[in-house]
Amino acid sequence: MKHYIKYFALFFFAIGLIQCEKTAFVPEPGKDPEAIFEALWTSFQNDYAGFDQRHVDWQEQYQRFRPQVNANTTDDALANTIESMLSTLDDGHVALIRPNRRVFYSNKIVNEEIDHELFNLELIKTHYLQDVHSDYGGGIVYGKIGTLGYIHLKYIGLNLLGLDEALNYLDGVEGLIFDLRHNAGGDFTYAYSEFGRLTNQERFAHRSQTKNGTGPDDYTPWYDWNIYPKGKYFDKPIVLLTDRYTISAGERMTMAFKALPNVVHLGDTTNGAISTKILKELPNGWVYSVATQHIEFLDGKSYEGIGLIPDEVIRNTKEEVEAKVDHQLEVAIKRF
Amino acid sequence: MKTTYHLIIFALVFSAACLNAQNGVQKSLGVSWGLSNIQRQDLIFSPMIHRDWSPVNTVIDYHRTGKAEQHLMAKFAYYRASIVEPYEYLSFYNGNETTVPQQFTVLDLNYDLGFPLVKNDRLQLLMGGRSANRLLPSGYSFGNLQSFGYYFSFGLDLWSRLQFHLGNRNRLSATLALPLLAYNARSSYLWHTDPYLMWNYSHNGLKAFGNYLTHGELQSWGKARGIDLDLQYLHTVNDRWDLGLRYLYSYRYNSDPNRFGQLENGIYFSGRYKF
Repeated sequence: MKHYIKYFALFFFAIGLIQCEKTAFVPEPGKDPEAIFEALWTSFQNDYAGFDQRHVDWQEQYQRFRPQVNANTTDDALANTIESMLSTLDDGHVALIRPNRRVFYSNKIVNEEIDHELFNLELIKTHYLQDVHSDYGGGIVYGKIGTLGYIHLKYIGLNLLGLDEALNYLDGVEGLIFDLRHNAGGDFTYAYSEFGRLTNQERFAHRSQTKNGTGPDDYTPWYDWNIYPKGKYFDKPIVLLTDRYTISAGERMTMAFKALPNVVHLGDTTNGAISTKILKELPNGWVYSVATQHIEFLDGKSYEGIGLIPDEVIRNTKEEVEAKVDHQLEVAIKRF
Repeated sequence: MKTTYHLIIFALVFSAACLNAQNGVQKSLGVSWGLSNIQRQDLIFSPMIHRDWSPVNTVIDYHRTGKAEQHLMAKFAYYRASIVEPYEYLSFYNGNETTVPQQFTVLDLNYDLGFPLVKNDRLQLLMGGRSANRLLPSGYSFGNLQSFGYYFSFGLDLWSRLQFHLGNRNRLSATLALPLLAYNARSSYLWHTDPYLMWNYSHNGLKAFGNYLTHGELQSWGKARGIDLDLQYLHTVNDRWDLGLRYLYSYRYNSDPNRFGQLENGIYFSGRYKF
């Protein structure tokens, strides 16, 4: 009898371990074209935060694009359908990555590189800056233009750790041109944590909430983001420059600047992709990104899909840039 | 605050139990190395099950055996899992880039304390508890963005070991641990949330780690489940050395804030030095 009990115990234990495998996982989405389309559409339905701000009826897109996909749809045709659907969002944070292809960006400006050539940092280095300092692999470039200081940030991240040194170097200038044109974004917390020398008091810059469930109203509570004084205050007037390629964390830094009383914002409207994004994978290994936050500026308005509008809109032209003239920068210089 | 209070009580009771353990009469230090397989599905990051085999697996054990059995165990494993082969793509921002696999680290730091319930020449059955500390940091890399994921767990397991003596020089043991309750901290739903960003605001890894830990919750079998099985065969080579084979099975499940499932199977070669 004792032997039987042992065998029974072993049998039930083995069954238990097999059950672990069954309970550990939920079925993966299929790898056929229809399942891939469904997985992507559903992921946006559950996690994307910008439908209202971008005036897109996602269910309507399903009715429009789902019939274009069947079991025989090729990879390229499936990608075309998905890209067409994602392009309705016109969101700089939404992208599709496929093997050996150029990344598709939902935002028309970035995807088609519209007016990309209207900003040229090399032109500024060679024709405007008296001395060029570059650090963090070109992530931060600074120097002097006459009695003014100039700082350009290529992205938002570790390069912000060079801001203090740049401001030290520019100590004594009459004013500062802070150039966020073509800023590719990154981790905005670096912009806020290293912003301390540019403000003399705590200021509210924006607030945000993030999806925390699959329902349309499932969001975390609003979270306030402030900038705080830290270090020697840089008390000079500042002109902020942005363009249509100033995106994401670059736009959040723009919000921080616009919270300051000594800042004039010039150039072009920012991209309008201010939310944070996450990246996810499809069953066939393609990667896509989803924007998952609502952001409100200090005026209580959302600029998602709109962009932060300068105090004065100034645009460069192709002819000016070809003639080695940065019109936006020259207007900024004249503002001091 | 209530959670912290429970943890302090637990730590005090467990420490007292440890201190009350009598002087050991036999000690050993062991190292195991082997090949392990992981299957992980973390719906916070992906609906896919990521699988990998890895030779980067080590277990270090310290046993102290007297009237009670005390066992310290540290297990480390590292995996790189991907559902497709890495591929290249062209980015507007960064030019040519290549995808990289997801990176999973498994770090278990356990302390077992058991007392014999049955003991004879052939068989020994021990029962007791395990202070189970499981750290599962991960790097989910999609495109050019690597997202840090974490599942840190500090808990109390029900622990038992059955040990058979197969003649004078061989023995077989089966150790089973089932979690009773644990303080668990996991990545947020869609992980890149305002709190997560604020916890990393200092850009100091240690502070961020502390922030992750302080935002966990006490969970039991309803939200967090698991099984750890350790099967070991040891052959006594001489008075100082044992050599053997070992099989480790681990099942982890968590449902909050989104489903996490993980199975780990590993076969190891073991060596143990007795002193």
